[in-house]
Amino acid sequence: MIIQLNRIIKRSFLIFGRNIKMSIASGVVVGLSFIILTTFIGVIFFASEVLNYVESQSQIIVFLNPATYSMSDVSAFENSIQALNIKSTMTFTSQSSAYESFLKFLNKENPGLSQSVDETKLPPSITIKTDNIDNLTLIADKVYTIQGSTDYIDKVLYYRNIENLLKQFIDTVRLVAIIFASLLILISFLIISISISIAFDSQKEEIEIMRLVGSTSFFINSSYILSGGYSGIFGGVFANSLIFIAYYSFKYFYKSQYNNIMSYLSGIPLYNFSILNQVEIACVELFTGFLIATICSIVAIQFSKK
Amino acid sequence: MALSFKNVSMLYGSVYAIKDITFDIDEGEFVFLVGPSGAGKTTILKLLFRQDKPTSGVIEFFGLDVNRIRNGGLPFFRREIGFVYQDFKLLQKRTVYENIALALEVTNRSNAFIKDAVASVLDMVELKDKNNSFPYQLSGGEKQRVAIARAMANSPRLLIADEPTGNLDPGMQWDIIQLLNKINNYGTTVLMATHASDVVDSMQKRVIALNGGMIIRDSKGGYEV
Repeated sequence: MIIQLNRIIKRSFLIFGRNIKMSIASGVVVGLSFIILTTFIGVIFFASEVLNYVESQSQIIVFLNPATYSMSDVSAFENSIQALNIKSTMTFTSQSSAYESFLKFLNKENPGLSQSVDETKLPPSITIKTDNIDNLTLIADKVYTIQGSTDYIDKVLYYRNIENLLKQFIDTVRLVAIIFASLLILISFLIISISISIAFDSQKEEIEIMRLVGSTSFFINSSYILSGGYSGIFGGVFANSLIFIAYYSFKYFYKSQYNNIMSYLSGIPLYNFSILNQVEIACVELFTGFLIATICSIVAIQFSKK
Repeated sequence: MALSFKNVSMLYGSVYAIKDITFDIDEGEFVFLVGPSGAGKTTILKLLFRQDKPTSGVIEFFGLDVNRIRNGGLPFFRREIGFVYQDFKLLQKRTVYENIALALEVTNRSNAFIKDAVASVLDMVELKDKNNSFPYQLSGGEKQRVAIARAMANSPRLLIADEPTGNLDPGMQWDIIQLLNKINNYGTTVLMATHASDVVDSMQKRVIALNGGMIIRDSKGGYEV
């Protein structure tokens, strides 16, 4: 069995070599598919991380009218929100607490300005947070209803649109990615299948002779299937090399831009683009490439036989 | 009994290639299959090698019903039979050694075994010095010798030759016949389809003559009775 396996592998390299131009062409298409797929996955991943971050930071700030609100209004408001049975945290900030925080901030950033602000300029507020953006939207609706029926709420601060926009963006990218990925996989599939069919057809005489001398179909076909798989591996290596080169070129030749982007993204917990992770991605792509190309080869050989 | 055809018929469309053929060949026999083109010689060889299945009848190879061999078992069956073709069927981009080794590589033989076996059959066909030559560097007779060596590499129980001298000049024809005779003397059963009447006449072996897909003669002797 080991002897046979050894011969199959040897033969598969021979077939790959004989058909080198088509094999490389197939590999490049698989590689390009991977690059585009990786880019889309990267965009989706990045946008999802940003959305998660925005969601975790999102809140509703309800500014109260200092002239009309009372602590019983605050309690009534909190009770109304709690009645929604949504897990949330509400923090009431009085005018004096807001002023203290503001002073701390000003003294740190711009000490001279603190004298121009007094306690009465800052309104009391209630900050509401949840762990889920959809729940926050429900709470926001309730807050707007309360605002319409009472006079102690001055202003409601809630950036619903940004989050919705981000969600729409991710959905769109996901859809485009699925369409592109399907198209590219189809193209890769066709090219690898054609390449293997050509190799199979061009060596029909050899295959016929092998059958006549008692070769099993497994021995003949597996060499062709494996040689197709190498195109997939080549595609994976090609894609990873390009991504790797592009990333590190950008990092080293555009240092300031790279650092700017990284500092801009510093608050957002993103995937760590380390060499180890790169190797991880490469392994997944090599395996996937091999798998896709092998399936293509099996299909191509079935069609060639017919 | 090495080989047995029992009432075998083969219908292509509405035309019989062979009709109700019955014969037996004993182990160690040398048999000529003769007849004009279209008589059914190649059909008999194809059926025997299971390249086709007969419309009716039974073909037995050392007691094994050839028609009942499953597709998965065909390669193992074919290793028991060596086949020599008129057009040699050698791989042009492979050396003599590689062409012969191919027949053994598809089996589970070790490289050391293959090396010895190839050397042995090359010695038998007297082409030891052509080990590394490519087919295009050989004469017609030498190509046919390589094809015979490949057919014999797996030590088959039966050697089938389909017009093995058809592409050769008379001098070379005789060499090939002598070689087949030598193989037969070692104990391998030989079944050879041919048009070459002079070869058949000189050998005086058993002759199965066909015409229109039917056996018209089965006896020892020359091409014509």
